[in-house]
Amino acid sequence: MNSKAKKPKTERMEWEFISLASHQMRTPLSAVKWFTEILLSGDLGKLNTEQRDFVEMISSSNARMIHLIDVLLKLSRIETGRVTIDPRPTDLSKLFQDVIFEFENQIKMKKLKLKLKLSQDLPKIKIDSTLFHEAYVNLISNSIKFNRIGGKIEVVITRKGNEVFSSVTDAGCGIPRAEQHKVFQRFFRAKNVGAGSEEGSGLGLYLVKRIIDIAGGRIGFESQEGKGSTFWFTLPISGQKPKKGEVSLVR
Amino acid sequence: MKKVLIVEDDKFIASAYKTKLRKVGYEIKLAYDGEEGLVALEKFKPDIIILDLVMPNKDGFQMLKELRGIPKWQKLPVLAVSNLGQREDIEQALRLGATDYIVKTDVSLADIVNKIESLLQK
Repeated sequence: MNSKAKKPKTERMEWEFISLASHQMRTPLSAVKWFTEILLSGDLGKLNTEQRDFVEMISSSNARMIHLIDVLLKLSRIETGRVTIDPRPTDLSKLFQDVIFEFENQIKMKKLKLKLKLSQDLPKIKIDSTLFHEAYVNLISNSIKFNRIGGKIEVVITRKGNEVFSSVTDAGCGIPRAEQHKVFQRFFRAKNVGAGSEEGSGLGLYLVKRIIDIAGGRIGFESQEGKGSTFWFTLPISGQKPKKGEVSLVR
Repeated sequence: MKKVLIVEDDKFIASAYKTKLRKVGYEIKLAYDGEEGLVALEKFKPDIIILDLVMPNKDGFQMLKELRGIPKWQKLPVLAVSNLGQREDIEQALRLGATDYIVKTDVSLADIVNKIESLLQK
């Protein structure tokens, strides 16, 4: 499926502009990242406590910008049809366990209880593992970020008819009913998320939705304020179709 | 002392490399595009090249293609460090003979130092 043909021309041009602008920002962001690293390493002399605090704040603000630009670039590849889709027979349970491994420390730090219900007899499904790795990363990262200390995360991956069903349930703050229709919109942030709490790009769920869309799957959620949320998606068992990618627009 | 040729058009990025790699104990030569890079290659005779890809005049892809065409440089480790992150960009650089590929914003300078050390040991 080629998303290029279906997008209205103006929207595609907008994403091309975003892609070019994001690329231009990457070089100065790398410079800030590396110079703060040099300052913090002490190679050029020891910083006093206040200097160190400030350089650390520059560094983490910069990391947030890098993250935002990364997500924008990933999205722009999908929205302009430049993304590579290279489906290979994939064991979703294994793919998921690789993702969990990356978050082990964060799960431990928040004392979260992880319950995995990964079906043992799942067939391998032809998907692009880079894209679905990204989708799981975003769902797990949210379930940690918005969870309470000591809360539960439950993950289900199972077959339902002609689809593979994945869900991630957290015991977090949930999403107020009045805001639920906006969840998959860009830059959505629920009002009940406390000020000063961890901030994301506001694009994570939108990116997940687009990844599922182009694979011909469905995505949805159930949420109760104060109790938690379940985000789920399905994939056709027949897998996704391949698509040749294109080199970066900036070239 | 091992010699590192840095081919990078951004002056700030080049300066960050220079500061860190000198501190670690490498001899450094900077070139600001592929054309300068090829000249420096013959004079400086590096043990490894750090190569940016998007550069004015002669870009990194072209420099890679030309240097791999010279028999004595066919085995020289070339680490492509770029902000191009699309799979096709990475595959093209590897096809043209880059030994390894790193996306700049994904890594720290310490990561790059580690990568250089492991490429030099091979």
